[in-house]
Amino acid sequence: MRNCGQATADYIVGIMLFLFGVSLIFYFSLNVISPVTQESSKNQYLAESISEYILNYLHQDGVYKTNAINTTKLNQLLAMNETSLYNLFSLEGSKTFDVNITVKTFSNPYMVVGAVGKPYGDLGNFGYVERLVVDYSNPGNIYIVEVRVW
Amino acid sequence: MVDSQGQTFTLEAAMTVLLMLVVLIFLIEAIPLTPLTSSAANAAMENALEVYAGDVLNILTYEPQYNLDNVGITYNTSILKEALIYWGVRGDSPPTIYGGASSRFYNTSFSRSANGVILLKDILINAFETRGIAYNIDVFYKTMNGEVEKLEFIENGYPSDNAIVVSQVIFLYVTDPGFEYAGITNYIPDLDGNSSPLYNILEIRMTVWRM
Repeated sequence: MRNCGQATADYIVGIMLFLFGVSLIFYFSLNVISPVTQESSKNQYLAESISEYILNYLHQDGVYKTNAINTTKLNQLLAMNETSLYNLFSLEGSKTFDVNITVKTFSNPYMVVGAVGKPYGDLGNFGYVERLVVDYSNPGNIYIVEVRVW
Repeated sequence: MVDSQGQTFTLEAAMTVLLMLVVLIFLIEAIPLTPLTSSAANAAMENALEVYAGDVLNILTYEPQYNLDNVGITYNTSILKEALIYWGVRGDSPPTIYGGASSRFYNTSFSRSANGVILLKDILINAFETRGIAYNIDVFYKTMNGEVEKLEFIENGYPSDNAIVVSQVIFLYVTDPGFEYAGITNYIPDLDGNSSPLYNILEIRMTVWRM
């Protein structure tokens, strides 16, 4: 029989080191794993980027708010064909995804002002961003710009 | 029989329990248990809400400029500033509007039913309330001794863990249209006396969360 039942100090230090390693892995893996598990993240990032391009394109020169747009440019955007639209935000001729941009009135979200790009039906996994823009000359005219990427 | 390693086994058991607890906490943190739980997994949702709320605040603080190509640029008051100018002249303390723009407090909280005030109501209802999004709008201003204090403008309640905050700075001038109605100016000081048209600098902070 041993008369020394207490755990030795190096054993406790070993366990502490082990627990520290485990907590470190848990802490970092939470941040590493979670964004990747979002299935639609790629399309979502594309939609966010394209919405920025669209807002820059529509923006009225000389106005400091990015959401203040020129409605003439909005009408030009809605009259574009698919090729011209893709040329706004991608390299010439390259097309690895489909885009639909739909503009609705803010006061009545069921009223579609216009749409451009590929028509969308039942989309499974798509990126979606909704932006609000305002007519720079009339703050009462607010539009919803919906960007879908798949 | 006496087990000489009893204490060691107890220590191991305690560590095992600790590890199991860590795993449980990790799982709870990783999975959004309720729609109001903040989690790395719904970061994309929070990003989308942040962009959306930023757009709304941008539109509310947009001051239309006329004669863009001429030398004399004139500014019109933004929707939010106009509402603040006409807000809260009835009592000694600022009448915080509880329950959002569709509450009964909203209609009685302004000294004048200006177009801009009505527009603010429509925008807040369409942008947030019909979509199940709650919001608080707070106004921060500077006092004469340089401290920053808060006025609660519109309050929906205590934000959840996944709430996001967007803010904009606006300048209040004595030359702003409707300034003579003295709404918010009843509660905030003129920073430099009457030596310049600038009255005060306001930070509008909007807290938004999904209900």
